[in-house]
Order: sequence, then C-alpha cells, then structure tokens
Amino acid sequence: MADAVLTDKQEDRVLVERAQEGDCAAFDTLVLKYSQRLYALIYHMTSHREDSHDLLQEVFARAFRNLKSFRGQSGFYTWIYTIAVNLTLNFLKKRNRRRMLSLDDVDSGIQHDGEFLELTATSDPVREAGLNELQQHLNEALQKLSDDHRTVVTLFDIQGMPHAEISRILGVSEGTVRSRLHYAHKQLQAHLSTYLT
Amino acid sequence: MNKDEQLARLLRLKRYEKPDADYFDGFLDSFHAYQRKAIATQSAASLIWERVCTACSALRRPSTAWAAVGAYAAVMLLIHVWPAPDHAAKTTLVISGSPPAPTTQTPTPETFRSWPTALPAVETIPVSDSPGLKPPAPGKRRTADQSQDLQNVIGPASTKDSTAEPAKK
Repeated sequence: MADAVLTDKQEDRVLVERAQEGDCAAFDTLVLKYSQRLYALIYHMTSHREDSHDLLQEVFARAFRNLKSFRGQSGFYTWIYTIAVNLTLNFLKKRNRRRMLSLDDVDSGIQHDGEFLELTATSDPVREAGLNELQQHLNEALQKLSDDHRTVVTLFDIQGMPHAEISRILGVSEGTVRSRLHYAHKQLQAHLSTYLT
Repeated sequence: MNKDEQLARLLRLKRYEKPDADYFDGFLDSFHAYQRKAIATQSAASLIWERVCTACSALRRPSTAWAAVGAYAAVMLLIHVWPAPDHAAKTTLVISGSPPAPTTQTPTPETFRSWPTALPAVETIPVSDSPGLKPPAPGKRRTADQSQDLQNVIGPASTKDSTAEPAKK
C-alpha cells in the first residue's frame, strides 16, 4: 500500500516536471487522473452539478497557470486539492444560500452495495424513503451545515481521507479537523434523525 | 449499530452520486476549450492577483502567519504611539537610610526594637521645577504653634483672630 502511494507520488512528480517544461500532454494526464476525485469533492460541497463542472474547469486552469510556482514541497494531490477547496469555499461564500439543488443521478451500482443492502434491511425509514428521497434528504442535510463543516465531512466521510491529509489541505490542525467533524456529525444526526434508529 | 456508524454508512452512499459515464470522457475537450477562452479574456492584473493568491494559499498555516504579523504590528504601535507619561511633574525623589547591614548573628528581639530608631529621618526632595511643587516661602509656612485649621493659608496671616505671628528669620 505504502509502495503504491509512493509510486503514485513519484508518477505525479514526473508528470508535473514534464508539464512545467511545457509538455501539455503530461498535464492532460494529470487532469484525467484527478478529474473524478476533484469533481466528487466539489459536487458534494456544492450539491450542484453545473457549478461543479464550472469549478472543476477553473481548478485545473488555475493549477496549469500556477504550475511554475509549484515546488513539490507537498504532493501534487495535496496542492490541487487545496486549490479546489479554496476555490469552492470562495464560490460558496458568494453563492446564494437558497439556491436549488442540482443533483447527479445515483449510480445503479448502489443496489449491489453491501452497506446499502444492510441499511435497507435493518432500517424501515431508509427502505420506505426510496433512493431519490434519501438522496434529496442527504444533500439537504449537508447543505444545512456551514461550509467548513461540510468540507471536512466531504473529505473524511465521503472521500475517506485521513485526518492528517485533511489538515494539510485545509491548513488547520488535526484537532480542528476532529472538532469540526464532531460538531458536523452532531448536526447531521439531528437533521437525519428519521433515518437513524 | 450506533448512530455514528449509521450516519457514516448513509454518508458513504453519496459516493454513488455520479455524473453520466461519458462526462469524464468529454471533460478534457471541454477543459481545453475553457482554457482557450480564459486565456483570451483574462486580464494581466487578474492573472497577477491570482498568482499572489495561489502563492499565499501555499502557506501551510496562513492564520498563524497573519496572527504573528498582527501581534508584531500591535507591539510596534504601542511602543511608538503610546504617549510617554510626564514623570518630571510628579516624581519625587525619596532618600532614606537603609536598614542595618545583615549580620551573621541570630537577631534578638532587642535588635528588632532598635531598628526604627536607628533609621535616619526620611527626607523628601522634589526634583521638578514645576511651580506647583515648589516649597512655600519660608516666611509663609505654618509654624508649630499655628492652629490646624490654618494649615492651608498661604501668605501673611491676616486672620484677625490668629494669635500666632508668621515665623520670621
């Protein structure tokens, strides 16, 4: 696992160095590699697919323009995640809070997910709500959180990132990350109490 | 299964919210078109500002850095802007004798009793030229036999019922 991460980082470093020397194909490889993860990050923070598309393009454009200033002190992955989080947080500050949600479809693969099957088997409210209603409620509950709280929930609970990596991306201590997660979970439990038995 | 675990499972289901399968296939072309448009329209000033912002965000702990700068600025402000107190107008120099030099012998109660009387009288000398703190003229001081209620009278004792004459040199 550690070797795989190291290889991944080395691969990124090579691609970044090539891109810094003017190789646009190397940067395209980085775009293809990170677009899905970054789209998911932005989408779960905004709950709006059109905004996510625009922001994702801007994230890569900004990374490309500032690639010369990237010195490899952190991994490319951390660097571009920092750009994406900062850009999205700035966007959310300006965005109208009452904007309608614009959600992506739920992938049909969820029907075979073990956790989902267990949830529908053990929780009557989850089974009765149906997939679309559950998705709507989850997104509404997330949008009720503050931007900072939603960011840590997205990175930790949805994207499965460790606390240390989140603290590097956000530029805060691990204690702050844990504290934000604690309060965010308390609020989410209150908003989603009907699904929690 | 407790509530935390249930919540974590619910949140993990959000991973299944994805755009259409061909979205990421076409994303690169869409990104190239966006870049061309952005390069054509973006001003030099906004590019410079963007680079400054990105460089600043690269600082790991921006809040700590700004806090340090703020604290330094506050200290400098205090040092340079805070008004210096006018010590000269109010300060008096008190000269008094020091207590007896410490001795290696164990002090006895007699030693303690002798201390206050061993000290020379305390003398207060105003160090300012301020007229308000000048000692009154010798001839206008209250003499020992003047009554207490006349202590604030400065000048010749014009009070008719005063029996005491100002002290003459």
